[in-house]
Amino acid sequence: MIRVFNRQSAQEREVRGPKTVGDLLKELNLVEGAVLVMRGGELLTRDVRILDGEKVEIIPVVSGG
Amino acid sequence: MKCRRCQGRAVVDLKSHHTAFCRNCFVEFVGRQVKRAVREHRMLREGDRVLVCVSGGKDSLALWDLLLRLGYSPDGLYVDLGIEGYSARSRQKVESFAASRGLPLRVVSLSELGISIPSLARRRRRPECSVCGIVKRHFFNKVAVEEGYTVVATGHNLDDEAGRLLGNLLHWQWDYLAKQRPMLPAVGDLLVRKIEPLCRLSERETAAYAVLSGIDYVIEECPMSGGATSLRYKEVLNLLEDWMPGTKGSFYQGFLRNLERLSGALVGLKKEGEEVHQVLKCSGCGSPSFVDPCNFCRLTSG
Repeated sequence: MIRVFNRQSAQEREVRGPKTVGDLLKELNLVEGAVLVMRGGELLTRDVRILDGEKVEIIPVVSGG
Repeated sequence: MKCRRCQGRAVVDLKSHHTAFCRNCFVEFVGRQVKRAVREHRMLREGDRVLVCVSGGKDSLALWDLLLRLGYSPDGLYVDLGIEGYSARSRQKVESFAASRGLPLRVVSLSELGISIPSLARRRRRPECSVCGIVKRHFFNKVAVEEGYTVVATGHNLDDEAGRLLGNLLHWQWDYLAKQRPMLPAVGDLLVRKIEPLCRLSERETAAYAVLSGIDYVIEECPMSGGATSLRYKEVLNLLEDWMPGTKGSFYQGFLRNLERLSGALVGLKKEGEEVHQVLKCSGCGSPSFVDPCNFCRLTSG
C-alpha cells in the first residue's frame, strides 16, 4: 500500500499501489492544480510511479478567503 | 518527465504551458514571469520604495523572495489579525523569514489597537473575510503613506485574480471589473500605487517555487476562510483547468488585454446622471475612501 500524508490536515490514508502520481490524484479525487505531491522531500511530476510501501505527501495549494 | 530546457529530471510539470522543468529552470521560469508582469503593467520605476505585504503564506513570502532575487529591496509589512493560534503561527513564519535574511519588517498588531478580525466580524455581523479585506487594505496604504513608500506589493496570484474576475462577472460588479487590474496607480498623496507581480503565476506555481526555494510558509488555511465564496470560484476554475489546461490564464490575461475596450464599455453602462466615484479623505482617520467616514472607521467606531 502507498501511504498518503496530507500536510494540511495532518491525516494519513493508504491507497493500493503501484500508481502514477496522476492516477493517485484521480483516486483521491484531487485536481492537479490544487496540490503538490512530494516523496522524500522531492516534488514529483504526474508521470512518476509510486510503489507499495512508499510514502508520499500531498500539499494543498489553494488559499485565500 | 524531462526538463524542457536542460533535459534534466523534471520536478514540476505545467500542463497549461505543455511543459516541465527541473528545479533551477523552474525557478528561472518563475522569475521571468514576474519580470514580464512588472514590465507589461509598468509596476515599478527607478527610485521606488516598495512595501511588500506578507501574511506568512506561500504567495507573499515567495513574492518577497522573488523581488529580492530580481534586484529590488522591498521592506515587509505584516498585519497581525488577532486570529487565535493562526496569527501567532503565521507571524512566526514571517519573522523568521525576515530575520534569517536580515530584512526590515514592520508589524501592525490589531490586538494593540484593541480589535481583532473575529470580534469586528461578530460586532458588525459581516463575513470575516470581508472585514479582513477592509482592515488589511487600510493598514497597507496607511503604513505606506506614513512611512514614505511609493508602492505596495501584494501576493495575489493568477488563481486569486481569475477567481475574483469570475465572481465579478457572475454578479456583474462592473465597478469592480473596471478597477480589477494588477497595477493601480497612486492617487495624489492619499493612495500609493498597488501592484500584483505574481498575477501571471498560478498558486500551484507559487507553492512549488516556495518549496523549491526552501521558504518555510504556513500551510494551514486561515480558520476563518472555510466556505468563503472565493474558494468556490477557485474550485470551479481548477476543474475547468483540469479539463482544458490554460483556461485560467487565458480567462484572466484575455480580460487584461481587453481592459481598455471593456473599461470604455463599462463606463458607458453607467446610469444617466450617475457620477464617477471620487477619492475622498475620511473625516475620521484621514485615509482615502470613496465614502466618508471610510469603511475602516465604520467598522471600528462605536
